[in-house]
Formats: sequence, C-alpha cells, structure tokens
Amino acid sequence: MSGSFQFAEPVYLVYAKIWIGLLAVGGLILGALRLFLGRGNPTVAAAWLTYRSWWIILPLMAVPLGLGRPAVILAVMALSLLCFKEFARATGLYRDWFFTGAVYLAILFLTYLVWIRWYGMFLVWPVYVIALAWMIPVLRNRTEGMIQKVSLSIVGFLYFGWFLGHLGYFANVKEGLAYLLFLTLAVSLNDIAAYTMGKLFGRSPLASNVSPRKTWEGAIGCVFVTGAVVWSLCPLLPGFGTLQKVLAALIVGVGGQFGDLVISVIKRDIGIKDMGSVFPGHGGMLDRFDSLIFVSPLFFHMVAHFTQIR
Amino acid sequence: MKRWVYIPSPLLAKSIEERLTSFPREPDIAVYGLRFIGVLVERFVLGTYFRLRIIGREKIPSEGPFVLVANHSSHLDAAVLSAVLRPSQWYHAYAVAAQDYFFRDFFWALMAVAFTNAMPFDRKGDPKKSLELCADVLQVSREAIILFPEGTRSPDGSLQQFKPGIGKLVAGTDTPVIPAYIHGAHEAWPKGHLMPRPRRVTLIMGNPRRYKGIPSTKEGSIAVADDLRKAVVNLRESYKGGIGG
Repeated sequence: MSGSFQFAEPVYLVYAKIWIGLLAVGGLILGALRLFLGRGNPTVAAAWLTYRSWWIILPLMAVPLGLGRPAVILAVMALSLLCFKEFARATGLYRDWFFTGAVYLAILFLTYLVWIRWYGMFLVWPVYVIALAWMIPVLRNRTEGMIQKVSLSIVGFLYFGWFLGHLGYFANVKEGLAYLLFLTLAVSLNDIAAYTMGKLFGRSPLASNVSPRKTWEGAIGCVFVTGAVVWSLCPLLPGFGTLQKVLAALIVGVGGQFGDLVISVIKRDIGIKDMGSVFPGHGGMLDRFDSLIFVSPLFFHMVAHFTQIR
Repeated sequence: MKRWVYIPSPLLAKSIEERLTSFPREPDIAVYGLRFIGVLVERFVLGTYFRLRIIGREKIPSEGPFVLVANHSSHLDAAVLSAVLRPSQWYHAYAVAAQDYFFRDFFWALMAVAFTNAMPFDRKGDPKKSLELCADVLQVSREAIILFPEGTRSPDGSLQQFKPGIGKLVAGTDTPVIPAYIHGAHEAWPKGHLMPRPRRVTLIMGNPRRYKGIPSTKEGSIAVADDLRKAVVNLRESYKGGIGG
C-alpha cells in the first residue's frame, strides 16, 4: 500500500461502486418495508436506525483507506484505543490508571512498530506487554485484586490492541489496499447476513446463554451467504486460488460470528446490554467492530502464509 | 475461588452531555480533558486580564475534604476560588452551582464544568437531596466543595445573609471550612453585564475553621452560617484596613 492517495486506484473504485450500490439497495428495501409494514414496526424501526448509522461508519472507514498508508495506520490505532477504552469502561479497569495507561502506551508503541515495519517485533510485542503488566503490581507493592487487573489488561491489549493491529499491518503490504477493502466489506456483509438469516430462518438456539438470538439456521445460512460473497470478491484479491477462497470464506463467515459472540460473552459476564452509544442502532465501537477484531489476525496470517506479505 | 467483580462505568451508554451533567463525576478523559484546558485558560485570563492576586494561598489543605466559602457577586467568583487549588485538586473540588441556571443547556454545562468543575445543585426542586449529595462528596468520597452561602450573586456587591445550608453540611463534623473574601470581582463583572471589564481582582484566604462542637440542629446551622459570615466580613475589613490599602 503506498503512502499517496488511493482514491483513484481501480480496486478502490470497484469497492466504492459496490458499497454505494449496496447502500442504495438497502435503502430501497428498507424504505419499501417502512411503507408497507409501517414505521411503527419495531424490527423495521431498529433496522432503519442501524442502516442510517452505516452512512457515518462507511466514510470513517473509506476515507482513511483512500488517504493511504499513514492514515490507515493511524485510523487503526484510533480504533484500537477506542475499543480498549470501551472494554476498560465496561469491566471497570478504567478506574486504575496504571493499567489502562500501560495498555494505551502499549498500543501506541505497537502502532510505532507497524509504522517502522518491524514485523518480528510486532509479533513478539505481546511478550513484553505481558511482562510489563505483571511488573505493575510488584512495583506498586499491591496484591488485592491484581490477578484480575493484570488479566484484564493482557486481554485488553491482546484482543483489542494486537488483534486489531494486524489490520494496520496490512497497510505495509504491497496489495494491502485490496485486502483491507475486501475485509471491511466481507465482514460488514457477514454481519448483515447473520442478522438477516437469523431473522428469516432462525429456530434452534446456538448458544442460548451467550446470545438468545443466535440460531444454527441463521449461522449456517450466514456462512453460505458469506461464502458466495467471498467467492465473488476473490478475483479482486491477488494470488487467491481455491484453497485460499475456502479459507477466507470460513475465516470471515465463521470467525465473524464468533467475534460477535465473544463480545456477547463479555457483556453477559459483566451484565450490561451495550458497550456504548457511539452508533445509534449498533451500540458502541465494540458492538460494531466485534467481528472485525476476531477476523483480522486470522485473515492476515492466512494471507501471510500463502503470499510474500512482507 | 474468589469471584471477580466487575463494576462498569455508570456512564457506559451516556452521551457527552449526560456525562457532563451527571454527578458524582466518573473518571472520563473527555470531561477531565475539558477541565484541564479550562483550568489553563482560566488561570491565564485571571492572571493577565484581571491581574489576580491571592493572599494566603497556603491556607488550603493539601489533602482531604474541605469547604471553601466566599462572598458572591460575580460569575468570576467560582473561577477565582478554583485558582487557589493544587493540580491534584483540579478535578476533585466541585463548585456548587445552581442546576436551573448553569445546567440549563449544553453550552452552560460545558462552561461550568470546564472553568469551575461545577456540580449541579437543585436549589428549587429538592435542595435537601442536593445537600446530602454535598455531604457525600465531603464524607464519603472525601473531596472538596466550593460554595457560596449567599445562594446567589449579590446585585450590588454587598454581602447578603448566609443561608444555613452550609451549617447543616459542616456542623458536628471535622471538615475544615476556609472562608475567603473576593475583592474586585463585582467591579470587574457585575450581575447583568455581558462583558467583563479589566479590573484587578484580589482573593484573601482566611484561617480554616471547624465546627465539631456545634450540634447539627437548625440553631447550630444558623450559628455556623453567621460565624462564617462574620469571618468573611473580618477578611473584608482586614483587606480595606491594611493588606489592600
């Protein structure tokens, strides 16, 4: 991915057309549903709210991608910081400034490693962060509740900082723009497919304790829809054969739904409904980007295995 | 195995407007950042435009709860008092502000929190509950309060009667109360004027007072309020008599 503007890249234009087409079709369908089922219909009203938020989320993703490498790396950093912030607020870790501050610094340094393209250090940086997290209680001479805080910090850094950081590392790859455009679209469509398939065919609960709305029918239907989406998008990805297509479809289709459920596990354990209120109809940052967090490193390392990514 | 307890932020699903107006305030980078910028701007303006002079700054306790009371004749007062705070107190000393006035809309709340770290006081609806909240700030979270016992800005700059609420708050407790006299704020920015004028403002701090021996009754509260009013009057006389000349 180059440091200059990518707005006129052929692959960018293709995805721009797909997104605009999808938003137009989605708007038309929802508009028709509003007309026939009435605005008072709770499902339609909720879907409309979610749809409107896409008009804000999409530019937030599209503009950095079009601006090139520095903007993408900084946008991923901002996303990691905001996601960790929500996690810290939800778990109560935010009250301890030593741990939250350490994780923020660790994410900033991770961004620096991405920036200078130090791949080896990028991969082993979690080792140092875990060591740092355990040093904090020792240096502060505290024991009470420290296992919990250290664990929350490690999970917070690994899952929201390091996992998402892989998204930023794509910006260092020659064909990174194509991969990033693919991921953002495929994961977003996977979320929508999971929701729609669940609504249409959902019967037998998948993990009723985690999320009462998730069903086997919805999940399997979603994997098929995502498979079809990935299959049709793969010609835009360099060096993707049949094996890579199948793996990409599984990573996005299955991984995306797991990502959604992981955040549900966190919310259920804590006992809250939404992670925040940033996006009306979606919830917080984590409610929106849950699938992307889970999928990013898996997809990255799949691509790294088959291509000369560095 | 000991069960882990999670205490999520009460502000989780709240907008910035709700975060500013809800109380007690949670650690929040947006609100703390706003307050930080507010303190810097306010100290710069007070130091240059109003040439603020502080006499007896060392009388502020370095830690623990305290109440800061003063005469009230201008919007500048809360900002002037907040200028004696140490950095560790910037976010933990709250100026008690009328909810119906300072928290009426987003802009006013923003200004009140940035410049005075205001906490909303419901003087019209349920003053009793608001007083209990003030007591919690002092006794439970052990933070400080900035309060104007006159209840509202004096229209002509003269010292009005002190309301007994302050007495209810501190009578029978060990919380130190620091009286202060603000001179010049009324001339600089009186009630009803849109633009402040560049006049010198002086803040004189008195010695801390404690009311542990006074019963927490109606009479006790009135006695405390009267005593504090006298202390502020004495500071005013000492200023006119000598320090300020």
